[in-house]
Amino acid sequence: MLLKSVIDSPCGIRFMADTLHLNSGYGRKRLLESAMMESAEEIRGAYGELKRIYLSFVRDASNAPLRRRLGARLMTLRDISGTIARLTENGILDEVEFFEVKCLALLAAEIDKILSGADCRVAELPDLEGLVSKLDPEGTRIPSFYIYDAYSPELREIRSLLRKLGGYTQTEFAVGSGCCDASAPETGKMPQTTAGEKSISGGSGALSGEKAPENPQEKDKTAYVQARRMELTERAGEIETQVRKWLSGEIRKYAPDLKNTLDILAKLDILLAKALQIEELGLCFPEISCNGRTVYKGMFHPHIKQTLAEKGKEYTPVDLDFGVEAVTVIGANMGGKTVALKTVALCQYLFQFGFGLPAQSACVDVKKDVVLCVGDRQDELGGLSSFAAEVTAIDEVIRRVRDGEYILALIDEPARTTNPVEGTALVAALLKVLEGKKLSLLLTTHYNVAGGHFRRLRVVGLVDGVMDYRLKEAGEGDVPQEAVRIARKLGADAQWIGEAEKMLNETI
Amino acid sequence: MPFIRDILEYDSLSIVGLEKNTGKTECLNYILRRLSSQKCKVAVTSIGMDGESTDQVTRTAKPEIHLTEGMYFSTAEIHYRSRNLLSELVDITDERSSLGRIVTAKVLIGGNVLLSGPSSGTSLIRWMKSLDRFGIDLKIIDGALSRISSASPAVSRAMVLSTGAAYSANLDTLVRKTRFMVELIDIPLADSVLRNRFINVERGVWGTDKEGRMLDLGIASSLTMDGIKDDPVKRSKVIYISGALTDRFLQRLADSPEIKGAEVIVRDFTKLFVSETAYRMFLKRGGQIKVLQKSKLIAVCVNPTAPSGYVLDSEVLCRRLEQEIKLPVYDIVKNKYDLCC
Repeated sequence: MLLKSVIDSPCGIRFMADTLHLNSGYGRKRLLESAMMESAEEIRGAYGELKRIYLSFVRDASNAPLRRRLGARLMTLRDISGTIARLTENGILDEVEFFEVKCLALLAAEIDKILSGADCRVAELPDLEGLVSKLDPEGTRIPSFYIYDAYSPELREIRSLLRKLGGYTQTEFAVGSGCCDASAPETGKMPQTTAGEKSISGGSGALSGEKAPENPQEKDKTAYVQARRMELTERAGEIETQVRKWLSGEIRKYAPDLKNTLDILAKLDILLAKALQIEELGLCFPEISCNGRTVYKGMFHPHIKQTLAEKGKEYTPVDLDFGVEAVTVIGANMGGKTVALKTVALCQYLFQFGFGLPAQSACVDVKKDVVLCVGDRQDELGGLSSFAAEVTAIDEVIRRVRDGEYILALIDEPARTTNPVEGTALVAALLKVLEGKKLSLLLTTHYNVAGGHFRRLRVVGLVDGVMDYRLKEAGEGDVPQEAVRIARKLGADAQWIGEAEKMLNETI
Repeated sequence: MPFIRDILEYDSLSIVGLEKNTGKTECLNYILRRLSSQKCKVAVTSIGMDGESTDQVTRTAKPEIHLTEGMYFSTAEIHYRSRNLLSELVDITDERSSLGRIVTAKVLIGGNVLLSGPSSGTSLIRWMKSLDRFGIDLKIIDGALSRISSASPAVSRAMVLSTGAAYSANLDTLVRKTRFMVELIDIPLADSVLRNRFINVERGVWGTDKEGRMLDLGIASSLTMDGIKDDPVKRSKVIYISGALTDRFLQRLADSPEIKGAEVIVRDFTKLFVSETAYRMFLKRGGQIKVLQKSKLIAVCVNPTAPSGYVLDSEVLCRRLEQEIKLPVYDIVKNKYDLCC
């Protein structure tokens, strides 16, 4: 599964992707195309690399200038995968493509130097010096490119002649105006090219091998210059094509290294952004669970935390742990049950996509997938009501678990839109069907589900009029009766709330 | 060497044609050729596409854009590949035109190129910034038909206007229409206090209250004032329109009994979409128009030949225009200013 396929999950992973300070568009593209890791070994490796970058470039203040340089250089990273593919497929590159390749090779060399300076190597960048020397025959190491004179003595000669003639073309006014040396050469003497190559001195017509008209009139001279210029331009084009063909062949062997370099640099951009995000949002490096249990201490939802902070409010982190089991979460309205489910889903995704986790500490079990059924899933376009959409989603959870997929299922108040009698039966039956199966299920509900072999957690709820969002173990039948109190606290109509309380008292 | 010294006083220049075939490319080529003998680093691009050898609409021959050694240019990849000069590629930007990415190169041996650069004012500003690292002294933008935004002072500080028989084959009409455009370009700057107050306002129509504080007049733009019942001029004698100023809005303001002495401010002349009639009426009734930013109009170039073949008398055209606009007017082609120094 790719990050881009879950980016709009209601858990809020988009916020995490959007707040990454990626330096290159290619880095962002590769981030969205990154696959969810499904093995502990892969995840361990990814966090190992992230930690090295974090320690070198974020925690070590003395490397701040290097980090800024690294970021600035990564800004110039471009996606040249198309060019590399053309090179691999025996294509003849044009100047724009050679420029791209040269820039990437020079960039890799610079970044390699920066990483060495920080004593931080996340991956060995291929040695592209051989390629640089081909594309930089003048040894300037400037990120620019054209078909250099150094590639062909004949080309050098032609260009020298074109310069004398005032360029490839000239404006109407300047021709024959004396602004430049527009006189024809004495003879058509040209340096010989290597054997087998067509020389400009061997071209056809009077302009190539013959003398220019003696004492030419101005008009003849102009015509001569124009014709001569055209001939030289054509020959220069031919040689440039030959050079491009030769050069493409020369650098073709570097295509796998270029692809590797591109991948490494994009990865570096992503790792640097993730490392900075850890510092910026106060995230943690998770441990990988080896006993099937997932434990979060001080877990928080970064986006909600930030939104609350902007309003001057404080977020209450929660502790939570669960294993291969079904857990129901009960609690008052506005008690943060849904936020807790979303945060668990977010953390699981972040863990398996190699981000820092929003918690004080975390030990997470690797899952095959995350299924989050939350909010109003009404799909009017698909012709499904909210209830139907919910049933379909839960049905998929059951099917996947039966198929042996080890998933994390997070279901928010199933069957809440139907009558409480049937709703309670549906929830109890779901828990029974999934009992003993290999999955981690967190299910929030307001229904009092009796019996069953599952764990119950409860939001602490209103304490002295203040909501305590923490979760604690609960017993059977421990269903909070706080809805009316909360409605009153929200300032709902007094007569309405009074009537409700009266009715409740009569029932009891 | 007409107006080249004036150009060198600025770091950015746009060349704007009032109509196709008014000699804009001739003018650009003239400037580029003259600049080639100056010790200044020049970069050139076009908003939209320019430099083609045949006019795409009228099928008439057009001068190609000629660049000389040392100049920088930015164009779309596709046109870079078909250039007829030798150049060293120095940058590929993420800016995209409809013809692909925009590349920047330095000319090594002069020749012709088709220019097709960034297509909006904001992307032009980014283009200019991207040239900083090459130490460019003067950035030139070849403005395309209907894209006067390149002449906005937010983009370029100086401009050259090209006009000609293609704009109007009637000498009197051509002179009057050109004079009106020059008048708009030359609209005076608002008071510095007001300029500072409104310069960062990008939406809506605003006034000032008695204490001089900004007052939201509750009008989204000059295009959506039909539902407004109150007279904005009664609420504020200073009205700043962040977007376009249209004829209807101007007429509505001119109808106010309190228009005398009122001041309408727009960002710059490119935001004025008003007819000469509405403009004159507004001024006649006592209103004033001011701008927050102003470009320096350096010169006007003329092409007396229309694509239809109709030719105006170049000397008469230049003289009449000079009398009316009090600025130097040049017929670059006829006078062959490009002769050697």
